[in-house]
Amino acid sequence: MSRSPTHAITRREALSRLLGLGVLASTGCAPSTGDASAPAIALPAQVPGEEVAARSRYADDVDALCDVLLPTELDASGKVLSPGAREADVDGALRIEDFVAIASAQGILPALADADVRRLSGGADAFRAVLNAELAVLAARHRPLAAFRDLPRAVQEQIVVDAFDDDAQRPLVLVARAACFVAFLGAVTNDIGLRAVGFPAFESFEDGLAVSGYPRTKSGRLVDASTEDLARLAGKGDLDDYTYNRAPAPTPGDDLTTVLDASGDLL
Amino acid sequence: MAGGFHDIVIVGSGFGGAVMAARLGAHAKTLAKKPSVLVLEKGWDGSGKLDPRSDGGPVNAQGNRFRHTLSPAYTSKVAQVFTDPRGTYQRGAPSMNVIAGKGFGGGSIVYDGVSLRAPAEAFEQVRDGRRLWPSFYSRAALSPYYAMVEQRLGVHRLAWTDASAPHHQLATKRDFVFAEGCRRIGATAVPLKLADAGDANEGWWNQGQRFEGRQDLTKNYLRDARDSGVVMWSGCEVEHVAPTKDGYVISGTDRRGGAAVPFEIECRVLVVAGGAVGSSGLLLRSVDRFGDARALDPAQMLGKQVSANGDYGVSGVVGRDYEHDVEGHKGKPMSSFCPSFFGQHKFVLIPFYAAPLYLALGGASTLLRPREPAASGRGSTGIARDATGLEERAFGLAYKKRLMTFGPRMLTMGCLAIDACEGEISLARSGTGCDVSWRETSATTEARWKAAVDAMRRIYEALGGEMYLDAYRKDGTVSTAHPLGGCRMTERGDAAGVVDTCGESLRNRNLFVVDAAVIPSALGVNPSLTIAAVAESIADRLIRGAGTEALADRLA
Ligand SMILES: Cc1cc2nc3c(=O)[nH]c(=O)nc-3n(C[C@H](O)[C@H](O)[C@H](O)COP(=O)(O)OP(=O)(O)OC[C@H]3O[C@@H](n4cnc5c(N)ncnc54)[C@H](O)[C@@H]3O)c2cc1C
Repeated sequence: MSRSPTHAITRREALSRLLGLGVLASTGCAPSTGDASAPAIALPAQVPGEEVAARSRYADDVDALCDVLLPTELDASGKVLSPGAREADVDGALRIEDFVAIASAQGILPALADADVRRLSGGADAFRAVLNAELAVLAARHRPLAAFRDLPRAVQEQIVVDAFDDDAQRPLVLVARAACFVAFLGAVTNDIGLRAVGFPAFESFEDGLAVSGYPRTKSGRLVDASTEDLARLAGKGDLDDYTYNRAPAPTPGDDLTTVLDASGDLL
Repeated sequence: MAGGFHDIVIVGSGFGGAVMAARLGAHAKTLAKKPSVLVLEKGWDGSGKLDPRSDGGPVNAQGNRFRHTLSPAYTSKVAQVFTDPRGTYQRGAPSMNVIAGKGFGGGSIVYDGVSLRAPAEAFEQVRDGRRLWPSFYSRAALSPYYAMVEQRLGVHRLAWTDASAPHHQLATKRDFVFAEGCRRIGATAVPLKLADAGDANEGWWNQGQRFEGRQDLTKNYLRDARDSGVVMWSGCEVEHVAPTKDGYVISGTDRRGGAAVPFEIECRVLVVAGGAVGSSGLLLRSVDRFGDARALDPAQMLGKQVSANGDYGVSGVVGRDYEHDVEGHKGKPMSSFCPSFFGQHKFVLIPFYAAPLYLALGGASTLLRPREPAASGRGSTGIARDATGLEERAFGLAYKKRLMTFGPRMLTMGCLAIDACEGEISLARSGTGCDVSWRETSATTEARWKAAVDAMRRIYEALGGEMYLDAYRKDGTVSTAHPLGGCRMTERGDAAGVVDTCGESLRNRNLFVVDAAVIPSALGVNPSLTIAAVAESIADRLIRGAGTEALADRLA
């Protein structure tokens, strides 16, 4: 079976996003706000304090928080070494209708108090507004007049640590963290995060088809094990398989005949 | 309000409901009056083949509606999680999480296909001087029924290596690594028995198996039921049952087509098969509708003594120097197990694929290091601190990097133990849902888990790696995909249960519970084969009228 190039965002698009972010990061420019992933609310202009970056590369504080929770890894030149929540389209995860309620119902979020569910529900824009407002307050506690997104990373991280420890703030960061990881590892709108952790690319994202089987060649071609010579492929270093096809060494002295019957069930 | 009458109504379509639908459906066809059989399932028809009115998405190129995404908007169509709302959120409070399938096929649409017969001693457990299982049941008594299920599901044992075995019937690299770890601590791993649909699997979806590779019940028992003329409605949640003069009335909501339409259906014979939590919840909600003479729960046992089947999952990594990659996401999600500890400690160990999303969020096991690696027991240790005295964080670059070991070095495993049924199911404060809880772990269960956790930690260490902190040691959270009990079977007249050995309510003729809810003890192995075998045995006795009134007479 050959791979179809029908990812929700194509690999080329993903790549250009990554490269684009790398360039943006290196130039310190904010990404365009005209695209669908832009936050829905306009933020008041912030007055940068002494130690903050001259210009933010984040669209808003929530955007920055997502990068703290599941960061894009950049090298010194701003090249993306490994993608993070933002490349994986965390905004798309946050836009899932009733995200808080269904994420709780699916065990992705712990059971939140009813009041928190109410506070954090009401759509992505509402959640974002609440979270941006909270982050503004938290940031101001550390640096008056500074926006969360403009704070040094160490301070941002400390704010997040404190928020996880605070009963009132914890639900907010839990929801944001869940959205980041759902986007990254849940194949919501792309498979960028999954590939970053070592999974093969989806064969067809639109059809919801991840991988259609093993063994395959390293380049992704499905191998018919009944007709092709796996040993030869392995010898060439071109086999991506899930079995070593050999038995593990026996365990001296461990006699299973007292617990296991001949068909492989416990006695 | 929609309504109507069906002779037999089955609520739920998992291992209990599907077997009953297939067997009673086939039998009904042979009866002169051709009684009608209806299955009501609250989830959708992911197969796209059972309910023409199901309003799922379009059938895809694979011939079904399943997709490989963990977006909660999608997973809420195929699975449900029950939790203790007083638990996880308030850190440190005891809690429990139960995951179950939802939709035609019940748990089979998300399961791993492991199909083991329960060990003989699971049936022989005694508590307070009483055998937990009714005397009718034993491993030997269930053997013919196990064989029937194995035959229908195409269960076979995998091999480590065999030139003549199809590639997909071989265990995985993960198993090889696990087996080597077991060997290094003096134990042995062997290949598992599995139901699979002949596919070479594809370790990705949340349980790592492509849907058309999974031997789910829509391909066998439910298909048989449909072919016998059993009518199946998806999207129909039963909320209450109540007795009538000569049967039952079932009320609920039909959500097909988007709108929530109430329905009320009458029947002569009612089979409740909503799973351990689903069935217990439905009966708990309905208790008030049954008077004293027909009390549903005369012994106040509904929802009580629920087993987690001793489930305890951990994650960790093998060492960088270990010669093999694990690549846990490839191959079947479960394909070997280690029975070496069962004789002494009553647990087996199983390596499995766990989706990195769930590991990252830490519901059952975390990617954090434990402060005291050798600690075991509920809430026994916290998160490790780094050199500067700060706790490791479940976010940030270091955490992401740990996650990125997922492909090559991550190894996830768990134990299934004979626990002492410490769980409880209760009605949620609002809505039609249920809560679950696990207040205290008995000394017996704790000792078994301690031995299991110790063995698993030693396996990681023997492979040069380490075991991460799990939610039981951190927060006291018990997580299970194998809830059992809630409507326990008992000898008729015995006060310690809810239904008799045929699954029939003690005081309500023709009201049956046939699913995980009636299983009165932990099994020590994955339970689906036993649930289905018990259902086969109940269907057989009902059809033959052996030890109970025959179905034909009940419907006359
Ligand atoms: C992720 C996962 C992996 C697993 N892997 C394995 C494995 O490899 N091997 C194994 O042996 N077991 C496995 N299990 C466990 C196995 O799936 C369950 O033990 C089994 O499905 C229970 O069967 P059941 O008939 O009791 O209920 P279920 O299979 O849970 O079916 C109950 C059905 O009833 C429906 N329902 C509930 N309430 C209502 C209502 N009020 N109205 C209408 N419908 C209702 C539900 O939607 C559901 O479809 C796994 C479980 C999970 C969640």
